[in-house]
Amino acid sequence: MTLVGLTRVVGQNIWRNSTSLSISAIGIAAGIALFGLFLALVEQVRNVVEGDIVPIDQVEVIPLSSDLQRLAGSLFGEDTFGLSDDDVRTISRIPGVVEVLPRMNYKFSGVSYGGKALVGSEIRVETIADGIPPEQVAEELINPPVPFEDRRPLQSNRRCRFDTDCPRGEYCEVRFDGPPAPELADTDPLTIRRYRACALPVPTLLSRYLLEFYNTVFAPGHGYVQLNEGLLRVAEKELQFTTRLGDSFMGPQVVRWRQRNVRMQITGVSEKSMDLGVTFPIEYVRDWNDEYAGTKGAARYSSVSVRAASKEDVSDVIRLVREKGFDIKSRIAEQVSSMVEVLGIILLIISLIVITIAGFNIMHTFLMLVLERRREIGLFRAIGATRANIRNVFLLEAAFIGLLSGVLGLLLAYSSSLVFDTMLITQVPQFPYKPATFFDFRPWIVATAIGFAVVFTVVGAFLPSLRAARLDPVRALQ
Amino acid sequence: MALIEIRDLTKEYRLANLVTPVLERVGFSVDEGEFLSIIGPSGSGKTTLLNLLGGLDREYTGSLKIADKEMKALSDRRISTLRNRTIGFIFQSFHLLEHLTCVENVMLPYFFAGRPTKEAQARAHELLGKVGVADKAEVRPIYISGGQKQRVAIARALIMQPKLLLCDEPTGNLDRETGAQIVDLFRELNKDLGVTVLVVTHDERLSRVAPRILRLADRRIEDTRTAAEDRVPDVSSTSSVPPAGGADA
Ligand SMILES: Nc1ncnc2c1ncn2[C@@H]1O[C@H](COP(=O)(O)OP(=O)(O)OP(=O)(O)O)[C@@H](O)[C@H]1O
Ligand SMILES: [Mg+2]
Repeated sequence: MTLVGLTRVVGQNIWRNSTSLSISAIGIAAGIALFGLFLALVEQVRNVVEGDIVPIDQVEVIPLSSDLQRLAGSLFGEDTFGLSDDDVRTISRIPGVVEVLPRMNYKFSGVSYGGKALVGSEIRVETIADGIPPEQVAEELINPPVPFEDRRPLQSNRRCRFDTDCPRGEYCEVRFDGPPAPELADTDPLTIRRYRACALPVPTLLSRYLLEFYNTVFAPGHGYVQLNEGLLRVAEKELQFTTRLGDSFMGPQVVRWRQRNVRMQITGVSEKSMDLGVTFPIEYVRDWNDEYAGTKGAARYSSVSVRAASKEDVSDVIRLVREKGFDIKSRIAEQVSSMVEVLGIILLIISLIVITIAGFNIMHTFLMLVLERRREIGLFRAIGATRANIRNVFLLEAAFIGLLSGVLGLLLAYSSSLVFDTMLITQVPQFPYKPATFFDFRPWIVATAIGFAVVFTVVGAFLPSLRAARLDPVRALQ
Repeated sequence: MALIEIRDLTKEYRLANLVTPVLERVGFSVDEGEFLSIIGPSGSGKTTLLNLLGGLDREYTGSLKIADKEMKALSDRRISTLRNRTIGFIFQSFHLLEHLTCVENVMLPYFFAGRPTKEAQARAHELLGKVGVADKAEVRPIYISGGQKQRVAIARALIMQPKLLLCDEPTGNLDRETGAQIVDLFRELNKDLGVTVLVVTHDERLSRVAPRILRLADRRIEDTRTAAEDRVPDVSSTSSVPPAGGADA
């Protein structure tokens, strides 16, 4: 039988039974629409999570948290908890690692306030911060208002009473002599000298995430001005804030008189800054830790950010890091990804159930068609159709229906994605990393959806087509 | 050479425990270019015999050869090719597809032959002209009369230029006048194209025009040719066939 002939017979059949076929095609189309929509949704969520929120090629190495180690540390009066310079070197030599960034956490508390000049009202927040080697972000910052570096060697340290006593760009800072704050108990407060000297504000980095969070949640909620990276570059004076070292909303950590104010200068946004906090040059954090948490907190890094050569290398890097005796901080990206994956699987199962039901519907329709076309099948056999010809007529018909319903389903999915996007953009308030679209119809999704539609329809029509092929021509003609 | 060669052919239907014997050890042969009518009372097995000859029913014992091929030994592919090329079927109820035009109906066997459709179209139109319904080519069969339908069906049966035309009561659904025209058409085809024609009929007139008659009764076949060979040639015996049950008015 020629393909032209087959296609013609099939085309005429589809045309003739268009009503019953389109009813069963709608089932497949609906299933495929769900299928495509869900896949596109999961794909887009993954894009956002892995692309913007946390780069998937990064891991954070932390010390192996064993209680024994901590115990040993406290026994020998020295905190061995944390990562040493040697550890950082070991990690940087692991194959697949292209960049290591040691980080040092704040080991004390602080309260920051400021922002009146910029957003119109004073913001007070508990300070969450860490420090990183400033030279490792130098090239990332384009044209910052002040360079991200330890600026203390440049400052005048001139004695002062007010900011106006200081050279341009400096402010009048309170300083203390004497032991670190935690060791004040056996010290006579009167022996501790308090004085003021001019200092340059501390360069501070924001994370992209924090900026996004501020812009989408915080600022709209409070009616504050939104910030962007360009604004951050020009508004130098307005981008200063003050941190009271040793203070805390949870109750002061250090006696009130030993707390002091330090001025900070936001100087840019960086991938390397901590997500929900600010990041300073590591030298400042080391000295503040000395001053407010004691010397033993100061020597070691709290973690090392490691960037792998590529996404594919990450799992090898993680394995090698663990082999070397370190641990990996569980990653938000991974947690969100696996949640998305589970959600995606559930949604896919739902759509597959719908498609399967539609497949049974196809089977039913085709069984009816075989019954309806009994005499025609008998006639075809009488004029020379083989069993295979008869089967192929039905299968090709099914494949056609599958193709049509696949395309229809995808159109349905795409148009509903537009509706959902408009609804989500207009009805749902802004949230961090809210994307412009929630769906990403990749070519592979389109191909898979159409493939599934065809396969399920053909599989559904298979049994009926066999039954048609096996019809006894004599009985069929009666 | 004999186109049809039957020896010791036995056919019975088995439905669960019920066995219906229809033909018992019958035998005859038909040469190319013959014109035969098959008569017999209702239920005598005329349709059964035709289905066997056409390869639609291949459950039999004995031997049944068409164009020297044993029917039950052929694969589905080969028997389909035989039905497509060598045999043409004509049914009492026409079996035209109503969603196709007349010319498309006539072309149908070509689809299963794997030949170019351009050639099919030309031949279909030519045949519709030959059977006298050229003007109905682009019309769907629901809009034409019974006689015209049967003409279209005949054109369809002829399009692959078969050697053998098997007709099961082709005039059964037609009035006398139209039936007579169809009968004439068969005679013409037989004479002009040399097609071997086997017609199952209740129509006396149709059976009378046939030079040879197979009469089925009691699982046996009475053949006028062998009868004529056995006895003194007696042409009038064919016309004295009693009207079979359910004969046309
Ligand atoms: N598919 C079948 N299964 C079982 N028995 C059948 C079948 N077809 C026919 N028969 C039986 O075989 C016998 C012959 O039937 P057939 O249709 O060949 O007769 P016929 O001569 O064509 O009759 P009519 O003149 O009424 O068309 C009948 O007794 C019939 O009941
Ligand atoms: Mg009959």
